[in-house]
Amino acid sequence: MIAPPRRMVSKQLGELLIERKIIKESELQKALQIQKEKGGLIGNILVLLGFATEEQIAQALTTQYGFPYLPLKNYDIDAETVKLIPRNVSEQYALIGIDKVGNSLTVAMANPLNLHAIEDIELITNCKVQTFVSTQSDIKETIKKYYGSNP
Amino acid sequence: MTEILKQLSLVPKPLRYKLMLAFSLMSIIPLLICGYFAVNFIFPKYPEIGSISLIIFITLIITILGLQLAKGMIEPIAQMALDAKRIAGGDLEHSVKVTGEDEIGDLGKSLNAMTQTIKNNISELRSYGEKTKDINIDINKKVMALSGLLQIGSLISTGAELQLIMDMLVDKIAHIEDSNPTVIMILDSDTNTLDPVALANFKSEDVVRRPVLLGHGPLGRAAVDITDVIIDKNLEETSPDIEKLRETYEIKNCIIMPIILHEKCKGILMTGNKKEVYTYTTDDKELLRVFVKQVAIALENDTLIKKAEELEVVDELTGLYNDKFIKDRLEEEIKRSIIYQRPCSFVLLKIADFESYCSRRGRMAGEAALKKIAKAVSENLTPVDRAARFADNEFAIVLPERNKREADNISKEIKKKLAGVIVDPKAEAKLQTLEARTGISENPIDGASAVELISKARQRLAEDAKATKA
Repeated sequence: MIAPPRRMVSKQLGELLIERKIIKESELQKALQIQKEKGGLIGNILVLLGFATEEQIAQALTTQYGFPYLPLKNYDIDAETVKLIPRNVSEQYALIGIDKVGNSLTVAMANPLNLHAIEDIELITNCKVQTFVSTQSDIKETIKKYYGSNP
Repeated sequence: MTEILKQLSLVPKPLRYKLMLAFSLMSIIPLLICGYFAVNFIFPKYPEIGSISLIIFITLIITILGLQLAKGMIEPIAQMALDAKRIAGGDLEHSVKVTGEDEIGDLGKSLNAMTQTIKNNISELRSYGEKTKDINIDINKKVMALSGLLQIGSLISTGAELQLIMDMLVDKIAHIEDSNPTVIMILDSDTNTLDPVALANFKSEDVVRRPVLLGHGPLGRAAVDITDVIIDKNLEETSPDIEKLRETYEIKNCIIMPIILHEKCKGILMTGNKKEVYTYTTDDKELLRVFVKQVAIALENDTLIKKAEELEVVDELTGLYNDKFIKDRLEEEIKRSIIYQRPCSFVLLKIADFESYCSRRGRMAGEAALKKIAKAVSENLTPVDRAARFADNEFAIVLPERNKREADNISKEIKKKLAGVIVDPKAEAKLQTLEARTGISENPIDGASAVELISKARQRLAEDAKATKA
């Protein structure tokens, strides 16, 4: 498994959104410009600028790559499963463990293309990871809910 | 007769005998001759012996009176001679007893005047002696102070530790006079206090070591006003503050001088003494000012050294980054990783048995080996990775965007490569190569700060060393 080089995902995501006519080329350029100046993830910038919603991005990823979409808000998770992954790992990679069956751990991620993250989770939990897509803010909220509001 | 006596008085010792002889020659012998003639020729012819006896008796009386007169004249001279002898012997307090207004009296007066002059001269000489002594002590003080300054100067130029320089400064200032209580306080601009950094000769050091609030008391005010404060005999009026200072530091007089650097006060220097009456001279102040300047120079030098160290990023021996730089870099990479939802790895690499290698092959060979190892390590890295010499025989590598698995692969490759690096072809086969131990940590798994990652890596390095040994 070779990790995708830097920025490839951002570019991909941007192009994917243009292809799906969610954003315009000019909007992507503006977002890239901001990323260059202030840093941050392209998806977050697009959401912040109001060019796309988190749901639109999640759905684009679902359609393009076939990751199933999981609306976390309506989902009850086993607290023990969540805590298989340390809080700061969940927060940094914007993911959350939702279900564990045998040696298989289901994880909801904002960016299912983050292979480094998947590898790290597999290393920590010793499980095979199955990925679901969810929105970043849903994941953040769920983390707060299950790990407590204070980091 | 007085003429003769005057002449005779020049030789005082046999004066009495000469006088006796003169008296005999002039009075007794003629009298005896007269007596002889009277008895043999006059008495037999004239039977009225009574009147002749009267004449003889009167003559005898006159003779005795003459003797008394001569004695009266010679005695003061003899006494004077004794007095003069005593004065000559060093008893200048002794004076010649003056009797009468005659030449002997004049002589006595002259002798007394002479003695007084000698006495005055001697006391003048003595006061000159005292002055010379003071000047010598003063010169000695200055020579000592200057040699102290030279010592401190050379200490500063060799880049000695600030604490050492401050201790020496206090010691030298205290010894300008005999062991004066002296303290240097440095301004801490965060807490707005003057913190004593070096002190000497205080009875209760604990009390002196307490920080002084800026602007409070004579010490705090000297720092704020940037003026000298001198508490000595010339102090016009005392105040509760000054009395408190005297009590706290157990001193009676003192000079407080601000340490000024770039027109800003960096601290104060205080030196005092316990003398009841004391005045600081201009020389004292000037000498102390030179020392205060030396303190300022030491402070500035220290700041510059620290700045230079901060700016330094490269390890001199290996050409890799230094430990400080790599820590900053790691911290930065972790922050970036958190923002971009990516991992970042840190590897600590230690050369096994390096100490014993150095003790067998020498320090020079050890350094040469480190250079070769550093080269091999950096050849295995991509341009975004950063390698540093972390400690004597320790290297650190920051691997941005690499997770633990990838970092582990890279570390294994480096270990493998090092096993093939001949560090010293001249050494015996066993010492030609050096092995490495590694410890890996990753953000986010092992923490979200450089400190956490370094400590985790160190822990794993120890585990690796233990596992390899076993």
